[in-house]
Amino acid sequence: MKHAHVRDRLGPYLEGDLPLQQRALVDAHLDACESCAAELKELRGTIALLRSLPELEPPKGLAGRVMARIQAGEAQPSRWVRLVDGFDLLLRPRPLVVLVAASAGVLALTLLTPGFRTEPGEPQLGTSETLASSETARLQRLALPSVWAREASFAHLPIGSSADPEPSPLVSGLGALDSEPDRLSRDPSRCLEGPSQIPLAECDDRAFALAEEASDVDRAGKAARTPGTAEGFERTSGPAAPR
Amino acid sequence: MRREVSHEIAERGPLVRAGAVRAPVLDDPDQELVARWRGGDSAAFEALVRRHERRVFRLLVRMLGSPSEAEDVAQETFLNLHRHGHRFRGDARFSTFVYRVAANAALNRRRTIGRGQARERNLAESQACGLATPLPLADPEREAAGAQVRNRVQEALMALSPALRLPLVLYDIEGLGYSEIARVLELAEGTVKSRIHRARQALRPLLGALAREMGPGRAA
Repeated sequence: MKHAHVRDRLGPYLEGDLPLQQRALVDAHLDACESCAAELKELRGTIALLRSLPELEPPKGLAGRVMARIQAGEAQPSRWVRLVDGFDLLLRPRPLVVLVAASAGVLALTLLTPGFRTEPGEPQLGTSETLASSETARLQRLALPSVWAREASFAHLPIGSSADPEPSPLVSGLGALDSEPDRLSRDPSRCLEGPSQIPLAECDDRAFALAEEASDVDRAGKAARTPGTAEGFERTSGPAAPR
Repeated sequence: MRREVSHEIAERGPLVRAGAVRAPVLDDPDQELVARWRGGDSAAFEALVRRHERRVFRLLVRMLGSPSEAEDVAQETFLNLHRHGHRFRGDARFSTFVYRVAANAALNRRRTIGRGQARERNLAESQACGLATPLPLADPEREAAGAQVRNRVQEALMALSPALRLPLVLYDIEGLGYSEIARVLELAEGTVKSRIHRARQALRPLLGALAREMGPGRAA
């Protein structure tokens, strides 16, 4: 065993904390090493000096002075201490409080999520009327920004087909939806059945039909100027909208 | 030479300290007084102060080196104890809680005043106020020598950093066990052992020569 290893173990050696095997090794080293044995002796002497320090008596009247200060209100907790204690109380781990807080958080998150939020007077979640209204609202959202709506209308066109340089009737058609959203929602099942087939195209067709009814003259004029546009939009696939 | 080594071997063995506090928490002798104090009995708190003032004062003198400063901080300790007593959860002995509050007060005081300034002032004060001569002895020469030794020990203690001095004082002077010191200082027990050993190693060059002068048996 090296000197450094022995010196590191002199503390636990003195306290009797070393395992027997290590203690035997240290003993063997101390038998042979005078410097380590001298260090052990100095450590023993140091500890003995510390433990020889006399008992100290506290000043007389200390308890009385403390009690007088307490009665004078000096031991009142400061605002800061009260604040810290308040936080400590809040932060102390209590399973029931944590469970209630977590439940409240989930509930609040659910209510604040747009898809789940309901206004007073609106139908309840899960009914067909609600679903139809939400579909109508989605169409309205599509219709409100006219530029987006126009671009969205060409998304139905096959790649490479000619786009109408003039404003599409979809713009005015969807604009008409703003004023007549209820007419779409009167027969919502049509838009909702078979969503994987082409319900949106049919909805679009239906929307065009409504738009045409609302702005017949305008549509006729534009259709005359740009023949084929309406057909190009009205259908890329799927059946034509009933008129 | 060989005889010296043999004598040294005979001296070896674990240092078993008398009065080491290792009682379990359930045996807390302060339990009843603490309960009465929490029930609003101020006389119970005064009894607690009287019961613990000696150990608080002793610890603070060894930590601060000055009796007058130790008394100030002892008063602050008990005021803090009264102020924060509701934080005592009873999962340790009340004396452990008292030691913790006193240790914090001592460390705060050390931070408040400059270390070097405090050391000079406290050393001068402890020598002037007779800290090292608490009891008159029959032999004045021996008493003077003893006072000198105690002053040198206190001076060596003050040379340690508070982080090393505090566990050393709690262990070697106050007689607490490792586990209780760990609870007082909120450290791991292994850290406490390591600090105590480092503190002794740091003191050895300062006090080793003095211990040799004193000879075996005289220091104790």
